[in-house]
Amino acid sequence: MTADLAVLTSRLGADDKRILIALERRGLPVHQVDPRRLAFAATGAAPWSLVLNREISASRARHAAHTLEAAGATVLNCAAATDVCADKWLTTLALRRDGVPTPRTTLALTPDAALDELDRFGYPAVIKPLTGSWGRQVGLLREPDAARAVLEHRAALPNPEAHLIYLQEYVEKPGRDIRVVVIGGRPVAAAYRVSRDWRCNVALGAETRPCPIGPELAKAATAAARAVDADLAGVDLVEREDGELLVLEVNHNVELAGAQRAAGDSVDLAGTIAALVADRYESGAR
Amino acid sequence: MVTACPECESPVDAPAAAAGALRLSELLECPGCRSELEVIALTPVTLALAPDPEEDWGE
Repeated sequence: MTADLAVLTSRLGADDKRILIALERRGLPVHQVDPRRLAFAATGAAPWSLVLNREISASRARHAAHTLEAAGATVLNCAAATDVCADKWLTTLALRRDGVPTPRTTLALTPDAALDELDRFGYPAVIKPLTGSWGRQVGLLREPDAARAVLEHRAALPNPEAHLIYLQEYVEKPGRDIRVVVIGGRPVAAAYRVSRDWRCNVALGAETRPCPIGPELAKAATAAARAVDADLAGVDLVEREDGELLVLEVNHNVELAGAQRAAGDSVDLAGTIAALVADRYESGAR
Repeated sequence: MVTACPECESPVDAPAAAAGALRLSELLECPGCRSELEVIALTPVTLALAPDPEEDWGE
């Protein structure tokens, strides 16, 4: 194993390029590594002592993290955090274990069980895939006929994971949700994501606006990142109409552009991530 | 340097590969057809259509 550090990424977008440049400016021996070209033996030392895992594919990110940790490397985020964040139900369980407020959530193990459960759960309800981002395949079930149609489609999908149904309470919110970027246990930037759609994902066209990080928001976001053991986290929260903050999910491979736009020059998110990586590198992850 | 979009052949102005201004796997957008392009080689600069998103992609 060398003392070098690696950044795993198969799609070098603007965020990752800024992180790479910030690491290089610190004089660190950093390698850009494309996970699509990696293969690992089950034995042997890791090629790098410290790895920043920015892989966009959750499957590749999880297995690379586990393999590199088993081979002796330190990985940011750690494999356990990547596992939990890559699965919305595991995230919900971790948040509940630590007492982090979340919307009411249920996992049904079949589409039929979900349809029965919805009678008790109530409408409207949000249905989400266990894996995935950017609001894809997230639906709002307003009444039983719509639920039946969506669940029939889910049952027809070949992937068994599609038959596990994650249902979440629909929270009436003030036309926005909140993304907090937590780095090294510190909430360093927050953005309102404003949308006319009930989904507030930037990938779906939501606009970002500056969001002050008050004590309650800081507490909820840092508690959520801690619950999933993530050093780098994008925590999504929603406000009830009475102001109560609920954590929706935690992203392990946080995209920076929206929060950076909202924060302006007040913070350099890529630079802050590079500083955390440098700190870990210099404190012994080599 | 200028290279051609593999989809529509419009000229794509890529940063110089020297001094790390352009990197492997970097994503560029074609100004002609708006395709997302990936840098698959630096010498010479070679672009390919970026892969379509997969089900497990995300944050």
